[in-house]
Amino acid sequence: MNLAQTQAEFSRSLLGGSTSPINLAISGPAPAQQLLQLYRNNFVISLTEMLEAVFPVTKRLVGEEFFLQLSKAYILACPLRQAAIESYGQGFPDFIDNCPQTDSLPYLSAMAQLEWNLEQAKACTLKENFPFQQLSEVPQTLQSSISFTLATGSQFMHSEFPVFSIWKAVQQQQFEGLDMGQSERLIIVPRPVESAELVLLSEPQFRLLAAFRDKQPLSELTLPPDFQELLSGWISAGIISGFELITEEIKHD
Amino acid sequence: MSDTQTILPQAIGIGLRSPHFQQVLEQHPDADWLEIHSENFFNPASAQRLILDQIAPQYPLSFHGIGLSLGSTDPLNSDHLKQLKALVDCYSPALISEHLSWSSVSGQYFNDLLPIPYTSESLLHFSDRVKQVQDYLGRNLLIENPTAYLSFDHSEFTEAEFLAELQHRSGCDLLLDLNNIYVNSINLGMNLSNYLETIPVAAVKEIHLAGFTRQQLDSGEILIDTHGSRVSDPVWSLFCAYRQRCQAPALIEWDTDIPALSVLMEEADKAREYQQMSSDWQRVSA
Repeated sequence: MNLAQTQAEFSRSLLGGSTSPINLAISGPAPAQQLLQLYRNNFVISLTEMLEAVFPVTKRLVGEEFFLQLSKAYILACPLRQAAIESYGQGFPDFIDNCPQTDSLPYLSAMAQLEWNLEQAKACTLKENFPFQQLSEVPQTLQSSISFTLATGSQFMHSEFPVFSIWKAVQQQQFEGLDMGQSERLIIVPRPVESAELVLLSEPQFRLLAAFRDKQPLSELTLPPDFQELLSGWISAGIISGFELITEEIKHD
Repeated sequence: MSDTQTILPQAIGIGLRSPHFQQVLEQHPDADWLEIHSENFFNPASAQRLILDQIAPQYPLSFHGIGLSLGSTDPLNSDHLKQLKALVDCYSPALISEHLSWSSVSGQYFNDLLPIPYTSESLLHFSDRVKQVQDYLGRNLLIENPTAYLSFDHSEFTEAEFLAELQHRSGCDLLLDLNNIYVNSINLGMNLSNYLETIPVAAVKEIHLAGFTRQQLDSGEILIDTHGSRVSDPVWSLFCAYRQRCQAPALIEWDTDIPALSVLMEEADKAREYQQMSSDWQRVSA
């Protein structure tokens, strides 16, 4: 058996489960099936641990045993396609959404999405300082072309479920007053040293920040009466990290 | 690119893992060098890279890879290689290492270091791949001996013979994990002395020290290379004995159930004590 055949057979044995026949001539301190089970366990357990680390609240919502089954099904259905495992789990929220066994928890997929977004924000660096000086130097004639830029790695989320409230309730083990019919909008902002903050937004606030994300200049937006106050709060909270002047060329790029 | 870093002979390092980032930055523990897992630092815009930027000027570094899948019959992953080169060029680490293993086939990755059969075909394949990577990086690779829970009946070489021949053909250096050698000696009945005699000592540029756990199977006990406990007594003895021949920098490696930084530093101190003991024995016997 050549190297390619050996690896194809090994791979088939790892993915096939403990009852699949083994077409490899191997030796070791235990029968072949048990030896391969050690590798099967390593592969499934290491990816399960990765999912557990990224989706701790999702896990708490369904319990350890169910989460293990869900993870195993996901690992076998959606194999790892690159060596770096940081992006593994991106499809987990969709997988949950399509999994009939989670039908009784319709918000579970949204919770997994929130946790995935949180992880992505945590992985980003936060090193921007808002350029107050440059902003003050923008001539009055160009001020309506300003669009504010969001902190690198910020993640938007709009859910028909109160995901942020559920997330907080699970952290604090305090479920009283949860209105499951409430939709929620939020932004997740990177914080220094592998952390991130979740900020709940009203619908107008969400629309305004999304417009900045889409590089819309102030001239095209209907600003709320408390815009200055909001802007100042978002800058000090690190949600807005800079600004740019949106010219016609930029808009058409 | 800055000058390549250096790690001195007999230097004792620790594996840098994310739970200790902040503490290492703040307390600057007395480790002679640090080893990172290369893949965790590929993203130049990540928080990890910000940490590495701060740590790199303070410690010599070794970049230890787990994802190149050198033994795989799939083509080398050019994206992975590009990212590794960018990282290496950015920090010029003292050492760059990978494993004698494979972890992917037909585009499916297993996040594990899987065993290869030690055949002439594997040797040719593996040494070609090592040469390709070395040429691309412009740096020598260290290849680490793996833990294996099985051996292929059609192997033509022992693991040590394979590593020695690989080193000879590709010009690579070696990273000797003494825990892996011990675990394999128990699980697969490998002879420790023969193994160490076969390895070309001049090519050994790094030593790993780690812990294992015991697992009970129906057929008996097996040692599992968990890298999740203190270095065992038999591995310390092996280190002490091998130190008389090899002065390569040694590392305390701990990857699962990561303990407080102080525990890693205790293990590093222990390595220094065993190193001293070994040196004393050598003087007495001379």
